[in-house]
Parts: sequence; structure tokens; C-alpha cells
Amino acid sequence: MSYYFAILGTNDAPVYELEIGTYRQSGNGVPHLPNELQELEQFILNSSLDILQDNQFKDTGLFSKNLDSFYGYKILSYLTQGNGKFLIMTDLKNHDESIRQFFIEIHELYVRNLLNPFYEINQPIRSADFDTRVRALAKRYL
Amino acid sequence: MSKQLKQLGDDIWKNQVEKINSELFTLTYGSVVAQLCKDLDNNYDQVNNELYKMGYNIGVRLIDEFLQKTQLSRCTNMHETAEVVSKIGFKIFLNITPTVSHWTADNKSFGLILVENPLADFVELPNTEARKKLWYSNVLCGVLKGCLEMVQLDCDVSFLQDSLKGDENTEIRVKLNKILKDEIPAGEE
Amino acid sequence: MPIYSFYLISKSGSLLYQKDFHSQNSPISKQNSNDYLVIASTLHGVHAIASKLTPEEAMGNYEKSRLPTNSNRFGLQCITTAKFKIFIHQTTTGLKLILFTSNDVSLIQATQLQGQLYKSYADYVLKNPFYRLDMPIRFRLFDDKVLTVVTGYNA
Repeated sequence: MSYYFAILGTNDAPVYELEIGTYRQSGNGVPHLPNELQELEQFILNSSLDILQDNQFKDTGLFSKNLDSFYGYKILSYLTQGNGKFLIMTDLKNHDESIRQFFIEIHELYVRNLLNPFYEINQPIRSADFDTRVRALAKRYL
Repeated sequence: MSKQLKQLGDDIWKNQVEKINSELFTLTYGSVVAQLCKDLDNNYDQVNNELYKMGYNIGVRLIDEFLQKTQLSRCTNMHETAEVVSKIGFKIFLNITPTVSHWTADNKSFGLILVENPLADFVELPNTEARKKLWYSNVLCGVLKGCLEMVQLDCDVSFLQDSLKGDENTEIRVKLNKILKDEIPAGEE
Repeated sequence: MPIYSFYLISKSGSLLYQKDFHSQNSPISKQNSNDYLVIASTLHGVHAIASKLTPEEAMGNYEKSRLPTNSNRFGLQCITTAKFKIFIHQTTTGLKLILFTSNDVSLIQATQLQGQLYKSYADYVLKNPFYRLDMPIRFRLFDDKVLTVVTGYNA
């Protein structure tokens, strides 16, 4: 039971990604994504962007719990008002609410990171501090 | 004495100071520093210098504002100066009160420990070289230098440590070189 | 209680700013620009001399020299003539604010007005990023502000 989490910038360029396993059901946070899926995960998320864009001006909510699916993996999204995209691909079922909470907390981290004067928008987030915080959130919610 | 100063600082902060949104302030300063780093090709020594010069130019002007608001007269010794800088200067311009500490035996040099630093909210230094060399808030040193020089105290002001770099504290060191006796205005000796 | 003129003199004694205010039957006649410079530097010198005439016991004694009664720490504060008064206030940074006023203005009133003018200087001159320190002041905003302060007082 694993997650693939990615943040895409306003121009759809990837700025952050993380593979992580669940901590529920006595998981230990180690991801178990099959090899063939690991090679495809970026493609899968990017292809679901089309749907996200179609819905962008129809839905009022930021969170979408059934954006797309791929052979038993479903894709959830969170679109910030500033057009930043958070996407999660997972084979876990019935965890939508905690994933939503996770996204909301990530949103705050994402904004704080934008406020760092040395960070340029749509550049990869290389801050170790950001990474630690994301992992801590994953441990709490995922 | 120290209590009176604190009271005075609080009063001025409450009644006489224009306030702005702190995030706007922090972000403005942040973009200045980031732009300097970019313009100077990440030559952090040079960035430190520029920030210091900018601060100096602010300081030589700000001191009159300070004196006008506080109506204080010349300090008698460095201990008094340190208290005034911390409890009134920092208070009315940044709403923080650094701790005065680490006096040297000759009473000429002291440290100002900034428990919080409004300039550095949200900031994370970009790389190890910056972490080694860049004094992000160096403008503060320049301001202090400029202010003190205008009241005829020739001081060296520099950062000793900065929590942005992973140091334990943020500390500014002020060291009195000499009192510029010749430049003290007539009647103020 | 009219104010006739206002001078700002820098630490080194150069004239930064001078303004005459229109007032009915002002005893001070219009001077040419050179005379303003002469007045400024003379007052600067006289102030320095006056402050040197400090009584012996107050010399080097900070606590005593704080008391206005036995010290000349402020140099020259007020010159009274038959027709007008001159008030001089020196700030800790060495800036001098000088007011020419009618005879019925008291030291307290003058000090208060000088305080307001000092504030205008700190706000509208020093905070102007294009002002270079110790240069003559030619800013319309400052002019307006000085005029407001003084006319507010004259009224």
C-alpha cells in the first residue's frame, strides 16, 4: 500500500516528488510500488492533468478525490488558487478524508516555501527542511 | 533606569510609530537580498558589503528620527548605550528587544542577541556557500554603525552568529573603537 | 506671536534651509542670499563660543551639567533684542534649528515648535531617499510641511 506524491508548478513542471508507503495497517512508510509502475508514475500523473484542467473552472472545490484511475490506482488532486497542483496516486481505498487533510497541510508548507526570498517559482524545491516536514505530514496522515 | 527605558520604548511603539504589515516588510527585504545575490553572481562577501552600506545610509538618517521621538540626550557610558539600543532602538523600529550580553572586561564591547528576527521569517539560505558566507540580516549592522557614528561613537558592528546558518543564536557584536571627540557638536561634550 | 524666519544649520555650520514667513510689520527686513549664509555661520560660531563658557564646576561632570541652571550644555538658547528674539536648539546629532520670532514667544513655546519642525525634518528630509546628507534642502513637501507647522502656530 503506497503513495506517489508530486507537486507540479503553475506551468505543470514538477517541483517536488515523493514515494512513500502507508503508515496505516501496520505499514512502516516504505513504498511498495511495482517496478513497471515506478517507471510510469510521472506519465500517469501528467496525463491526469488534462482532466484537472477540464474541471478547473467547473468545480469550485480545491480537492478532487476521484480525478482519475489507473489499474487499481486512483489519483487524487488538490489545485491551489495560484495554480499549483498537488497530486497523489495510491492503491489505498477509503482514505480520502485524511489525504484531503494532508493536502491542506501541504498547501500551507507550499505557501511558506514560496515566501522564502531565495526560492523562485516553479523551480524544484530542494530544501531539506521542506522534505522533512512533508515526510512528517505523511507519517501523520497517510 | 532599565525599566524606565523599557517603558519609554513601549510607549513610543504604541503611540508614535507607523506600523506596516510584517509580511510585506519581510518579503520586501527578502527580495532585496535575493536580487542582490543574483546581481552580484552570488558573491556573498560583496552582498554582505552592499547590505552593510545600505544599512549605513539608513542609519545616518534614522538616528534623527530616533532622537526626535525619544528626546533622549547623550549616553554617559556604553552600558547605557547598549540598553538604549536594545530597549528603545530595536523596540520602536522592529518591535523586538534583543538581550544585551557578553560584555568584555573593558566595557567597550557587547553582544545583542536577537531571539526573533523579523527580517528572517520564512528564509532558508539557498546553499552551503551562502550558509557559510552570507550574513542575511547584515543591513542591521550597517544601521547600527550609521546611527552610532552620528552620535560620535565609532564602533565596529558585525554579526557573530546567525540562527539561519544553523548557529545557536543570532548575535550582533558591537565594539567601541573610540569616541570621536573632535566631532561632538559644541556644547554637547 | 508671529514667527518671522526659520533656519536649519548642519553640524559643520553650513546653512541647509532658510525660510522667511510673511508677517505684518515684521521687523526683519529681507536679506540677500549671502546674508543668510553670514547669519547662519555667525550664529553657529557664537553658539560654539557660548557653550565653551561653561562654569568650571559643571565641566566634566555629566550629572551637574545636565542641570540647565549651572551649565551651558545647550550653548546658546535665546537671544533677545528690542524687536525680536532668536531661539536656537541643537539636537544630539549637531543639527541646529533656529527660529526668529516676535518678543512675546516664550522658550517653552519655541522649544515645542522646534520639536515639531525637527519631526518634519526627520520625516520629509531624511526619509526622502534622494536627499544627500548635509546638502541644502530643496523639497516642496518639506516646504509645505514647515509652512503648515508655522502657520498652524501663528494662527
